[in-house]
Amino acid sequence: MRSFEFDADRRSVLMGGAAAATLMMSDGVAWATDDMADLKKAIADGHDAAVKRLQDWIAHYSIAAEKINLQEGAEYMKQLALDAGFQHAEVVPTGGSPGVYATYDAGAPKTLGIYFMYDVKQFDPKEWTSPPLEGRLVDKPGFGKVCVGRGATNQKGPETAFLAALYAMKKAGRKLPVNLVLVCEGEEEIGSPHFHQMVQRPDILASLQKCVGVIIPMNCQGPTGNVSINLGAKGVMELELVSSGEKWGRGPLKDLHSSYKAAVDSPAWHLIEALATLVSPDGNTVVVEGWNEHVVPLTQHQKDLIAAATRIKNEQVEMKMMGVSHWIDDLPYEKAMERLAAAPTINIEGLVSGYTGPGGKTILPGRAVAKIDCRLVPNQTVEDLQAKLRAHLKKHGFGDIEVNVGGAYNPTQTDENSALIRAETAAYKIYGAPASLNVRLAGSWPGVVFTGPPVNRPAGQFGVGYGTGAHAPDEFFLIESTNPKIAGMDDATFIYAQLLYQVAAA
Amino acid sequence: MTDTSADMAAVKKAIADGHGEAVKRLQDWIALPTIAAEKRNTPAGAEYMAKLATDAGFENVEVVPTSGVPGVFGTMDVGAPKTLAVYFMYDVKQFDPKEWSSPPLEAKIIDRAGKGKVMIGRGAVNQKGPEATFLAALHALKKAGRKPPVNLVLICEGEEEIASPHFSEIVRKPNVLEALHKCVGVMIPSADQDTSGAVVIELGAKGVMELELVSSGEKWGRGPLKDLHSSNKAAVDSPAWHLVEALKTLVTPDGNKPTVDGWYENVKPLTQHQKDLIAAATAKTNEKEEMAALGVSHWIDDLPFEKAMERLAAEPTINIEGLVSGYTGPGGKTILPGRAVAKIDCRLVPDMTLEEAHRKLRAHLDKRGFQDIEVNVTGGYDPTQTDENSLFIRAQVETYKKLGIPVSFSARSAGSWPGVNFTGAPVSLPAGDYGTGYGTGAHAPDEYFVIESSDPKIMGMDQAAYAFIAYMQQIAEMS
Repeated sequence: MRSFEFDADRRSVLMGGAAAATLMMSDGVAWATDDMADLKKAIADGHDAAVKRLQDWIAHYSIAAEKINLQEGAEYMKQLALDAGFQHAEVVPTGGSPGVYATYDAGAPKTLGIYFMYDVKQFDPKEWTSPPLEGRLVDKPGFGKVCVGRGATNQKGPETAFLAALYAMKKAGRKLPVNLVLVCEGEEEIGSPHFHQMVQRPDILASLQKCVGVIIPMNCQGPTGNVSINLGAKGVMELELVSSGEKWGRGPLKDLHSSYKAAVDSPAWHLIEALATLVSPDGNTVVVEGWNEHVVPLTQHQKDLIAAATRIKNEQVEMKMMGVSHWIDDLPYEKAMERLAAAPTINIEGLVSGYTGPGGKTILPGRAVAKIDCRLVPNQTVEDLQAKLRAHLKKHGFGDIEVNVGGAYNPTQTDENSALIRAETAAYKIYGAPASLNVRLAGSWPGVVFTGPPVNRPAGQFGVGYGTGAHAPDEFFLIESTNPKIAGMDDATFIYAQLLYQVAAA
Repeated sequence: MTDTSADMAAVKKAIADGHGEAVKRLQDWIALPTIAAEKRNTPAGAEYMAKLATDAGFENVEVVPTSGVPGVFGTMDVGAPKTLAVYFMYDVKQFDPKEWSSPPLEAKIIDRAGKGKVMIGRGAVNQKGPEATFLAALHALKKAGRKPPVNLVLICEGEEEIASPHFSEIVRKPNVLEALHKCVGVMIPSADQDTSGAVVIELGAKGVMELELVSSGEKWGRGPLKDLHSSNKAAVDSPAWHLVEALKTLVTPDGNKPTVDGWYENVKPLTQHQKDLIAAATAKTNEKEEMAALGVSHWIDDLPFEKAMERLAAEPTINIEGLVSGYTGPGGKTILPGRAVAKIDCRLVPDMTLEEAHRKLRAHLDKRGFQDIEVNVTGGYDPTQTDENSLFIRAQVETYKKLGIPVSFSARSAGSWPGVNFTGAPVSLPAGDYGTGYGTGAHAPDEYFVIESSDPKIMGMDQAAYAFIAYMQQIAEMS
């Protein structure tokens, strides 16, 4: 599952300095062992078919927000799974777009879970230099041959590379070293509102619970080839705080002439006073009662990982990219990166009240809104914090202020010593791209659907390769790399096969 | 001129005879809208205004250049002992013809149920109708072979609708200021009757200071220069929170009383007489209707109506007009905004001044660690107050009484108008609205002004013209 926040363009910003104690691939792609020669040949032989498979899939697009091709997209996804060797595949109805569930029984002792999304983001062909549904191959200076199309990198390209690994295994006459459980959804781009229905279906849940972990195929390489394994990410709770004359029973129902401020209360001032109770005077520490009750501090080992990652980063470059000249409390870089990973936040995304145009307008607004996002760290939960926020506001005399929660999910964390992470680490290493461990993304992705109850398995993004433009025009996926530090599609395919072996061995 | 009923009858006849011309004069004027915000019909509007003044008998009429839209100045010296200044605005508010039921520049006369014949057009009531009515009074006097009972000084501006940014340049021109200093007061012709026919004389109004408080990473040197991904909040300061904290220091926790250092230093409390005036006005007003009209169910501190109205007149305010920061569309967007703005207006009461309020706000923020927050004052002026016992006001009361119009005082408007241009230094005169008649829709579509009233309690244009003459006569007679 790929959150809207998690794409290659923003990765370095999201991870901040804690990102990557990255060791670059040396001398391009180093094949791990010679006994994989047959597999490599099978991947190369299947290259054109894999590219064609990706182009065809891009042409069959599904968009959840517009309810375009959802049933068709699920049927197509099911067929892709069957064609790749899954013995069982079925379309799973949900309250929204249907999902797809498939299993691949290789008779192996271990099972790996795979997450796919088959939907894509909306697009406007006018903004594209190449038709977004054609998946055309074009040369991209500095990268190589890329496939341009909606969904190319988010997420059909990496997913197709994973399927290509299965084709290659079959062609090479190799038996899969692990069983596979595939769960696919068609609503990732609208925040996965029904995905939990799929994972909680008893038979699907039971098969997921047998998995070593769940991977989300992804182009995890940055433009310099660096790759890191994210061990966790903060949760998020987006909400609006709304102060209104209507709910308050004071102040005006609608905007009033501002001269009345001398006799009438102001919902905007009411909101400001409420906001000011949420954080310390410097705006940096949450002071809502009980907010930190379940916060688990970073372990010394986590701090060590952050310190290691910070040491190889350039603070000045990082700051400049962010447009920032000081960290909170003028912390030294390492401490700032610790805080980035460790601290829960309450952030103002936006303020809207009354007159917002140029100049002024003498009104006393009847309504004021603060758009807020809260980042959650283990073991905070959305449910608990929402209750605490409401209780806090009520206690301080702001019980009338509406707390309208939009998207929200709990933090996710995967054990560094789990078999999945060990297998991923080994696969990257054998491939020639030793990965750094990122303790925790300060950004968020809803990995908790797998790492939290009832599934409770390790989960995370995995893969090499490069692509960019998720949600933007001219989205592309790197097919043939001219950059020795970055993997093309065949290499990306190979590392998925390698991961299967490492999971089996772990 | 001596006031005999024969004289007055002749004047009234002249007004009636001139009715058609007066209406035509108003319609022609409406057809030439000057809009300062769009620089529309400038300086054509000033030249037209000058011609209107000359035609009505003013002498030495001059277009007065300013840094913005020009003003107009003229005098009419009839050798009378007393002089009255008259203020005109010749500009009008913007309009969108699509929203009007009658073309806004055609000034058509239509029948309106319960009102009579009304003229619909931009500027009909704000302010060309009442001004054309005053001009009609001067034309009628001339036609009747009469001189005005007082000398007149006319000052006109073309930027009222953009808050008179250059009006002080006009009044400070030496010959203008010298002429103004001879006046008993400055009258703004208005259609001041309410729907019941009554008139409220406003003795004062609060001043105002409009400003933006801007918190930005750029000026603060902390937080991001531009919007940043919100996950970085855990390591980066927030200009939006910084603004919230700064705002919080400006008022009491209930948001109702300014707490800026020294804000009340020069605030004059209401006198007992002012409180009595407010009590009298409140006694005649239906609190429930007033609240319903405002969309309000409680006054501040649950005050009783009379105390709430006292507070309305007496208290300086710091009000949030608007808040803008970061993402303002539907739903959310995970950013840490690099900038946050609060749009603020402060109402000032005597003897606060704009300069003082600005200075104290700046010092208050500086003292509390908010030196970086920009205080961008976009407009404002000092409060205005006119002495109830001035000849200017006493003559109004007496005239309204003679005309049979119920009259009362408002101690102070909680809203603002830049009367301080007249009541403050260097002009230092009583100033305010005067006039009868009715109209509505200022700044809105289908603005209108009553030409012929079908409501016996409301005056039409001819009666309103006469009421101007009666007022000048009253000034001439009173000591």
